[in-house]
Amino acid sequence: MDYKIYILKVFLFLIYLFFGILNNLYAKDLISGYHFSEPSTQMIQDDEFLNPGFIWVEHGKALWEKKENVSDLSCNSCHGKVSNMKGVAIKFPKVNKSENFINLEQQINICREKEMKARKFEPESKNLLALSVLLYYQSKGLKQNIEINEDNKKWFDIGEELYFKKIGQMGLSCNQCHDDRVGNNLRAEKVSQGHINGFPSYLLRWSKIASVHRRIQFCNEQARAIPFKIFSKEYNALQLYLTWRGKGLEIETPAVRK
Amino acid sequence: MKKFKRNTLKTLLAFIVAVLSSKGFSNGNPYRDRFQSYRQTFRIEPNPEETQRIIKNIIGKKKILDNLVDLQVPDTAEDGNVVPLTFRINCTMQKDDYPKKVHVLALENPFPEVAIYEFFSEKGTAEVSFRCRMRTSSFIMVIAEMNDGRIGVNKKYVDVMLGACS
Amino acid sequence: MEKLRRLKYKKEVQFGEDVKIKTLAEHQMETGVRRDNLTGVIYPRLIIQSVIARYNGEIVFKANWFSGVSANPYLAFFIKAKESGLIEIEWKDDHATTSYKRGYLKVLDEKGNEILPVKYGL
Repeated sequence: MDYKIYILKVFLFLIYLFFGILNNLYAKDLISGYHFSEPSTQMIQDDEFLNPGFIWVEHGKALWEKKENVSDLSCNSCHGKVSNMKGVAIKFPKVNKSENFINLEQQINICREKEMKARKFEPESKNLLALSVLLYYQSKGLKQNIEINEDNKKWFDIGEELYFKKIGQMGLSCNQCHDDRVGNNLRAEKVSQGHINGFPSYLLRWSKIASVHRRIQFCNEQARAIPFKIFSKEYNALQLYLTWRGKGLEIETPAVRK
Repeated sequence: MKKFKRNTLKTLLAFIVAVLSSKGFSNGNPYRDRFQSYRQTFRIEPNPEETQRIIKNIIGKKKILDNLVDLQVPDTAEDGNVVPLTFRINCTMQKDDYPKKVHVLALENPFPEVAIYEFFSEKGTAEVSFRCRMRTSSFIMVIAEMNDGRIGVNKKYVDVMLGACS
Repeated sequence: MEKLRRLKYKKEVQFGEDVKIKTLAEHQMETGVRRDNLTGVIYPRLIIQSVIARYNGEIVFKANWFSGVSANPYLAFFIKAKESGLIEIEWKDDHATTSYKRGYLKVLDEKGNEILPVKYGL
């Protein structure tokens, strides 16, 4: 009688070990959001012609050459060709010279206000997203590789804290889904690892490009929490943490996600 | 005598009107279709009877053939906003052997008619791919009206995870 | 800024070949069913009603679309190459605004000479 229970215990332990290892493997390998979507969605992303994100890229190319009235400057007149901007986008979000912590879209707006003497673009407006997509598209294929140094250590800590903080009516934190329950079904969706290597990406549900901040806002709304504002310091910090978390993943912008 | 004459005239007129009107409606132009061509600003719930009526109006009493239409759709679509769809009509495109009109219907949409494609003789292959919207998981139906009166029908079920109308 | 229209096909083909023509239009394709979240106002319908393909001025393919076609609509179809010439795609809106995209198709015969649409008889 005894040995039967003993065998059962060993068996259960083995099962536990097996699933534990499996879970760890799943969680430790970095998997891009691309592999969590259906083949029909992957097909749309792979084909440059089918991918609607390239509409924004084309739009951005036109904006890059467009000269502003007052200063008679375009992006092209300072930075040169767009292809020179390879690898620029992956350094954001960063602390700039005037000690502000900003992401790429804010940098575009700063550039417009200070150098080009033009109006800021509204957050989530088509023009701003088009330029942002264009710049991220230049570093497509490069690996996410952000350094944590003295400047951004403070923000990195805030981001990490936000990632593990329970929020909202449901009391959910980011890591509960995107680390512990990866690959499970959340109603109709597969829970991905929450990497942002494809952003700004084309979301099928809104049929338009969405920035990282807008996507995290949506995530917060789903968890019944009050979201922060777009371009807030908190989201920038979270974006920094997420970029560090996906270190080694290739940039896929413009990706197509659900 | 006069009254009899008037009565016969009335019945004749009514008969002619009836014939004309029935012809007008049976020509694949259901009335739901007609107000699709205006810009509507109101919400409409799907109506299965209406769908059946539209299908009946297209097919009529013609003979249905199998193996005329090849239809490619994914079994499960992640988002109802984008369901990739490809159909191909097996015909030679010579003389009368080409599809005059091809209707694409998603049966549980508020407006079941998704698209109508028109082909012309000896102008290429009758193969089209595009992307459509679907409200819920339902059948997608492709009806090909051949120029010589034959009709080809093919339908497939698509599982939609997230509906498009929200 | 102008809405984007894309057209893609194989530029040089042999006589009698079926050419796959791919088009993509940038368009909202508002269904007329969607409500604004805050005010509850229904957005009026605004879709592309028809797409017409012309090959040397002759209509070769026509699509009539209703509100069930997805946003930023993609369309691929085939035409048979007979002679070199102009391929013109026309998109027509609910507001009856039309937009065009044109391209030249070069058709070669077996010897590698171009087949011109106009025959110069001597």
